[in-house]
Amino acid sequence: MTTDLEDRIRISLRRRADAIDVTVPEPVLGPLGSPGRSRRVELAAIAAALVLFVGAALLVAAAGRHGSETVTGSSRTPGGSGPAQPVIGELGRAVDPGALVSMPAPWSLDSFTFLSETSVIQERSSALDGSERGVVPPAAFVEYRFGDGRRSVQLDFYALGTRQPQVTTADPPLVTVRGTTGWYLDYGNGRYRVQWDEGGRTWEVDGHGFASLDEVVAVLATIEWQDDATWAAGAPADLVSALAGRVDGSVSWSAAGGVAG
Amino acid sequence: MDRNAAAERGSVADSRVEPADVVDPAAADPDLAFVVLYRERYLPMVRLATLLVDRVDLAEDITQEAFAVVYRRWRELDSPAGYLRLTVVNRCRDALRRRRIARGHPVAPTIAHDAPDELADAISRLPARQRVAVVLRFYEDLTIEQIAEVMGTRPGTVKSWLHRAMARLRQEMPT
Repeated sequence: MTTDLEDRIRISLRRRADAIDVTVPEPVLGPLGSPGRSRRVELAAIAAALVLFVGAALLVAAAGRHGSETVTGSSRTPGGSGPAQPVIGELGRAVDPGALVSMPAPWSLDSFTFLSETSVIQERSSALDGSERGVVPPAAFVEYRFGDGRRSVQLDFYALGTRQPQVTTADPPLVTVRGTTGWYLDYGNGRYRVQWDEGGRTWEVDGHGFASLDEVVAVLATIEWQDDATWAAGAPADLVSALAGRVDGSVSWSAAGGVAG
Repeated sequence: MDRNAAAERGSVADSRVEPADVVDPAAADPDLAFVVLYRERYLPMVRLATLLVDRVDLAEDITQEAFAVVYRRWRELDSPAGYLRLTVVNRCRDALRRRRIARGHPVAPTIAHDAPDELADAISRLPARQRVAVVLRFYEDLTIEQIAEVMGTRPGTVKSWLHRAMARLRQEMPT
């Protein structure tokens, strides 16, 4: 039997859903590969990637035996090969060193979230029975949100291969960003998403309040990679302390509320 | 296939396409079939995801990712529309899980409400699995068995979640 509450829920959800109206972007199919690509081809691609990865790891190990690199200066220039390992371990090793970035004034950090791949999230089964289970996230995740009072830039770092290019975009779908080719999506109303691979990881930016894609690209060019010490010196003190104290845990910080989690 | 050519073919085909429910993934032109599914299901999936994660921008991201997954696995799928919904729901659950990590810093919903809706807000406050079950049951009109399949659990567990959710909503929303 349908209860009054069930009817009210249906009406409430329908009304809230109907209020959501978004422009459906044009689909772009090419970047994802042809549908129906055989499993055998995919497995071959994975095998090839593994061979390349192992080879790269061996090369890195060999390079390490021939002497360690010392990083000097406050920032490093992004490049295709990724940042060198920082020599100062102020933040421990949980945060991907390639994900330590900053933006110059007038931009400031509004929020920062770090989720370690080794952290265990306690997921509560329900508010009533209180049972919990541990959930391990599939990969480390770092998210920044910067703002300048008028615009915002949310920057997410993903492990390569864990973030596929988005299926939709406006025309043209490609954009040159930070010296490489990326994808962009123009949502309208000043919101853009840009995604590209750099330094061995996927960067994904969600920008709001921008007048044009060129403006977004210009702002993204100002993002600087930093070593541990420089990043820690410029970051909020309570965030730095939390990261250092919870190397294998998760940390969330916001300018409004400080550290949580 | 060149993506621009694919997009053009999709737009040309608008007037002769069939509903997404009858899309045959084994059709001779899988790109075209995908475009049909995409155009018919994009907005409904964004709406479903928004009901689960509260944010339209995040819902759009999740929907696009889900379509990307469906596209890559197109030929393997018996029911692309069903798999699309399953992927959207699972990614919404991941997002809710991630949001729990950032608890204490709730992100303001970006849904513009004409009028406050206490019941919808109460649903948003339900524990994640109860919330998903409620939305699938009363918005998507899925059966208990279908919800169990989407959420990867047993029908009895879904009934339990729904029972608890309804009890909580009755408590918060006295008639």
